[in-house]
Amino acid sequence: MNAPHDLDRQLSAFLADGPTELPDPSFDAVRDRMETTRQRVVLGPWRVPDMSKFVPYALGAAAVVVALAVGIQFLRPAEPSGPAAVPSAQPSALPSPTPAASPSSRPIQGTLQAGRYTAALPVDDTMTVAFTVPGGWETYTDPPGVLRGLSPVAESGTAGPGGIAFQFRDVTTLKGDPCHWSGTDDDIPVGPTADDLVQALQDQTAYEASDPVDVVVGGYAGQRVDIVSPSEPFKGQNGIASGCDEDAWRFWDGEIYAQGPANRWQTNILDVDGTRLVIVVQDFPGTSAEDRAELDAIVESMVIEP
Amino acid sequence: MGATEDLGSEGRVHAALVIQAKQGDREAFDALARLTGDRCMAIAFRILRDFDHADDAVQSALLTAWREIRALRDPELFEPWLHRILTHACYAEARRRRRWSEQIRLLPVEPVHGSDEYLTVEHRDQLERAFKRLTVEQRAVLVFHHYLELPLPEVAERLGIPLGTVKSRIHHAKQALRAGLEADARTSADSQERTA
Repeated sequence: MNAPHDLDRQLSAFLADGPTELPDPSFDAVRDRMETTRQRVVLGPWRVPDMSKFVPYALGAAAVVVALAVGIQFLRPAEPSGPAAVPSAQPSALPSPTPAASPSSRPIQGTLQAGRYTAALPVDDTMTVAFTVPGGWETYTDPPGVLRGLSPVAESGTAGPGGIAFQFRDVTTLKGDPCHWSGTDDDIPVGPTADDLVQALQDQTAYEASDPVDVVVGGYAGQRVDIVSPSEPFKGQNGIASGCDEDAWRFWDGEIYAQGPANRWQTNILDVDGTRLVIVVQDFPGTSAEDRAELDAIVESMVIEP
Repeated sequence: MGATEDLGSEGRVHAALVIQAKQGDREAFDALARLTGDRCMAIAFRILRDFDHADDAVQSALLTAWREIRALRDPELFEPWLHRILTHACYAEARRRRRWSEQIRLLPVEPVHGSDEYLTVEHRDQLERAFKRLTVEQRAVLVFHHYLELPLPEVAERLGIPLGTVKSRIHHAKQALRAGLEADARTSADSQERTA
């Protein structure tokens, strides 16, 4: 029993025994549950190049240079005395928008032409957002007409090293371990208010979260907390992950995950007349200043209607 | 003796169905599930050593695969990808079972006995007991290596863990198995002495 090869043979013989068929009712049960399970929409292609160890540091340094050069001013902290529900000013960096269009005349789907749009948001049945876009941005809608995100049509897309995007959503559960997130045992439930989510992000210990900063977005006050996915690649090779579950780093529940290493999520948590709305701006150290400026302008142009 | 894979040809067969399933075709995914579900059940049972829990884990894994299939980049790698999801479903199932087992006493699983030159019925029962004392992660590497007969680097890739971790888990698992078998044998000998 103690000889190594003997144990190997016994183990193989032991494991050879046992059932090898899934019962038919189990297949049927899966089929039934598929009817009520929507496929997750993948936001942008995964384009995560294999990086040597110094590349993340180089990208970080580049980001600092870019930030100093352009003086990014995005989602500025709210003026202490400013009214919470006053729409922010129209961005000067945008081309002159075409006249405002109703959702019916300008469907919010696919690649957008320059102009101003109104779209439904996924947090409740009535909330909408109006915003102005330059050309070259595409929507992520699910179901059709409900806006979940925007990203550039350009090659940089949403993924690292230079992608950018933003998403609208609510967050009801944080992942206790964003890397090994399968299952729900260590999920962290989040209370219903904006403050609950801010506090939950502060309390979790799986990753760093910045101190909350007051912001006004779309005319509503809230707080912003920045979180960042690890700078080391967390995907495997050849389609099979060797790092995180299913190649993905997930801060929270839902269909959207980090779009690559060092993906910064500027998480704006708003209280829209008692309903929590989360607007996440995702970028990378390598995101171009031009893309960032365009996105900042889009966000500044937003007006949220509960 | 094991369940050696030929994912090259199977992968090509699956690829067309995967492409259809990624477009939301439920019939295509149902066909994929029926092509791959039996092997999933075999793997899950051998990791969990419990038919009902294995059934639950396989159903959960197939449903996750349906939900996430658009994220699969290479359609020919559907089954390895599914096995990784399945392994995590087994981990989750084992954790759930552990919580319940703190409150209720589980009845022992009736072992399925086969005829094999290497195992007597007594040894098989001893192995069953020793195997169930391993961690679920240790059991998974043993199943992928000794049942699917995958080489260790492939096990590492399939489970999404470093090769060193696979080697270490196998080493510790076998050490624990030997220790368990020896302890079982000592207990059995003591019992026989007392009876005599």
